[in-house]
Amino acid sequence: MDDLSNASVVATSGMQAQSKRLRVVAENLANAQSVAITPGGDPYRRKEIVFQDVLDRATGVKKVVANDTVEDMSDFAREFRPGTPGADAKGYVLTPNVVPLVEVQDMREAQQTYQANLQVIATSHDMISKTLDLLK
Amino acid sequence: MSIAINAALSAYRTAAQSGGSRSSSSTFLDATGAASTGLSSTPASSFMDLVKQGLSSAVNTGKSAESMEVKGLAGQADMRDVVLAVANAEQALSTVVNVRDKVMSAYQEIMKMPI
Repeated sequence: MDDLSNASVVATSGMQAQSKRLRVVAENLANAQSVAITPGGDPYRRKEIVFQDVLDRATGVKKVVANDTVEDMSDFAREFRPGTPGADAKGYVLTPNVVPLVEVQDMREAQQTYQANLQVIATSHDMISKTLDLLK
Repeated sequence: MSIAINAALSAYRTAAQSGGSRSSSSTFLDATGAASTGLSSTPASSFMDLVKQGLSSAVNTGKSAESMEVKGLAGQADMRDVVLAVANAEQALSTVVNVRDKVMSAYQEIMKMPI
């Protein structure tokens, strides 16, 4: 495999990692209102993704992998909602530690990194086909 | 793909060498299987090897792309891996076709040459 093909392989791993990241963002956003259902129980806890570089032995290049998600251990918020089943004796319920603004920013970053990796693939394919065009 | 390009380069080199020693036409006739004089078997086999090697590597890439497609349709493979495999197969095939076209046009140019 030559280096231009390897560039595509690396960029593909980057795209895969960013897809996973977007999935985690979607989980966080979808569960932004998932409160506790029993008094004293925990609501949805925000998840975070961790990227890591890993050596691909077949090509000798460093790919990126998205490891398992970790949980954000920051404090939950409290809301006065006496009617919900998860409310405590004073009528407060724990709400998730998801900040939609942070999630949206994460989403934009995932989108832009994905597009950058896509551009790497497009450029490397363009360079290969331009080189082949020399034969014509 | 780099295998195909390296083989193409060596084929061009042998073609250039045989062009200098007046045996280029027999070389390419050997390659196409139309006639065999047995004067220069090495360049001929190298062109045959080039086409064979290139085609078989392209076919292998195509096969792996096909199996990726099947996996992708079954939901087992990542969509990006499928796209990359198909793009690689297309590139491998176009490399072989381009090299073959170029060598064949060089052969035809030589055949058109008035003696």
